Amino acid sequence: MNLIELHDINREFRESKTNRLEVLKGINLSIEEGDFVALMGPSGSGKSTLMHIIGLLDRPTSGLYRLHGRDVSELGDAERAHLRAQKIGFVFQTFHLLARLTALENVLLPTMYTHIPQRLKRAKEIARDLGLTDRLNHLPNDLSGGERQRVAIGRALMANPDLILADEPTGNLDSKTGQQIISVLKKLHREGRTIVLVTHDQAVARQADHILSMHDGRITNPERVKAKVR
Amino acid sequence: MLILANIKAAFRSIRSNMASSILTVLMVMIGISSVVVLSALVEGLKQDITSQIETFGTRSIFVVPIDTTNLDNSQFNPTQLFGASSITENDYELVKGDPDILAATKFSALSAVPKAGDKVFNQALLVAGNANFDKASNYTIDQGQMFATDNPLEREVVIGTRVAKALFDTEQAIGKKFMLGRYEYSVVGIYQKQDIGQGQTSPFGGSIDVNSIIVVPYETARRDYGSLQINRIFGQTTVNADPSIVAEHLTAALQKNHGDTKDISVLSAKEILSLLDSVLGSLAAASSGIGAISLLVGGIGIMNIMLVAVTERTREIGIRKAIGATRSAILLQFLVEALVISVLGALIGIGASLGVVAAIGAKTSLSPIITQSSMMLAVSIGMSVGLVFGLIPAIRAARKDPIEALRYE
Repeated sequence: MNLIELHDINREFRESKTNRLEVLKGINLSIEEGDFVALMGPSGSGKSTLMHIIGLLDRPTSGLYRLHGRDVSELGDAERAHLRAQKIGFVFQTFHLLARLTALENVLLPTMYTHIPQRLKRAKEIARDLGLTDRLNHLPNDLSGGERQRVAIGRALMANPDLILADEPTGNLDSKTGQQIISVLKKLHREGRTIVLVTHDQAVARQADHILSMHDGRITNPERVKAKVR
Repeated sequence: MLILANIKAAFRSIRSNMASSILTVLMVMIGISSVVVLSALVEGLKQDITSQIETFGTRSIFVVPIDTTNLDNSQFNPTQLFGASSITENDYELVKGDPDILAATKFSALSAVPKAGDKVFNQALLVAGNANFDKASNYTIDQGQMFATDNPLEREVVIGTRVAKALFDTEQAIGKKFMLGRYEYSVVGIYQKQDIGQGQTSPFGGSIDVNSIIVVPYETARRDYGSLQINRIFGQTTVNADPSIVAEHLTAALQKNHGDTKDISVLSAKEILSLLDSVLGSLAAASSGIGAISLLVGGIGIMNIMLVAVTERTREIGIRKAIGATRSAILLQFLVEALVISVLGALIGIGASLGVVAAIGAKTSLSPIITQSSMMLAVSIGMSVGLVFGLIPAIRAARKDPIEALRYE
């Protein structure tokens, strides 16, 4: 079953009245449930923009996006936000934790925006699985890069989403810690979640099931997509 | 319990930016306190004067040497209430002789300081009045009695309890003597103690602090102090008469007596109270205006600090949106923050006002009163200020594009 379907997705930015920047050009893509896809490409290839569109943070200029078989262009902003809260987990390169909240409070943050039953219990379980039990009362400033990213992953998991989108999750980490994070993602994948990972790093990308290459707003290896083995 | 979560988050934000939050809360606090204290002063004044007028009774009338029939600001000359009076003996006879008047007395202010041994009382209200002063004023003498004529053989006076206490250290002062200028007077009667504000005297003659009064028989005073100005005439109407109507026809009669000069008029207690209402009404309006201006400043302060907060927390807004916050959720978050600041300011402002009012009451002769309704009004004003001035920054926050917000350093 296709979790994500993109047909002819274009994303254009209007820099000024005469200047148009085409960041995504005719993207066609399907990602099955339970897939682990790495998105690779040089700076400016549009991979982050594609991620944002998949994650419902941005709208394409034209084209069709079906999530769980549903055309998302019909959804209003509030519905997209709810969908994000319930079905999608984000992990960012710079972690994006709230500095004034403790690790535990950061993990619990999604509960402000969607109902999660027994949230404290769940948060502590997630934290335990990520090896964070002793660090829960610390502020992000007191945590190492790896710990911060694990907190971010914990936050992403609170609503038990099907889809995890990770934008350069190891970019700010050393290779050893980075690998720890990738192992966590692999474990999440084994639990049945769909992972889409943007990365510069070949070593990281090779650990995914499929690699999509992007250049100049297009996917350069569409045949890889079609030749998925599941 | 989203509101509760937002309130907690608001307190955390306020704490992390303590200095600016304190300053903003201070601005709101000053605005709210000024509104509350000013209206308390007006309310206290009103209650003081009203209770004193009420002790005079609903059937009382007052003759004043100004024209009150056309009391708009352009014609109202307050200096006419003090100083040289246009009231004559003839006027007094006219009032006294009116069939609807039960009793009337002349009222002339005197100046002398009562002295008993080494004790003095500077706050005495020294007046000359006729022998039916208490019938005309409705005040009760509960020790001794009123002097029998306007010109008794001995120098007799009737005083209030505060005077007795100040001069003789006791309120049982019948028979005691004290000096007024060159002459010695003896106390023959003491007025019943009234529970009213200290020293409030309305210039319209509608109130007297009876506890501080000394009444000297009219002719005795004239003999001892020379010719007297009749500052006011007080009276009580008969039971069946309508004081407002009596006041009206007496005004016409007296003005005619003055050759149609409008330099005298008669007011009933009801009219004085409504006059008071309109004067205090203007005062209240003015103080509301002042209060509103200071609240405006407080509101602008809130808008300012919230706009800065929204900019500084752009990244936070992006993060929250990325994990599923809707625009309304972000709007609510920042609006609650503005509300918490303004309500805090209002509550602290009320507390401060209570302190200020207590200090004013203790140190001056004023007795401001903070009513329950003015406290509730203050809190609701606080909330409205927070809502109104917090709205624009909250909308700004809600509208931020999450992707750009996440890139913001």
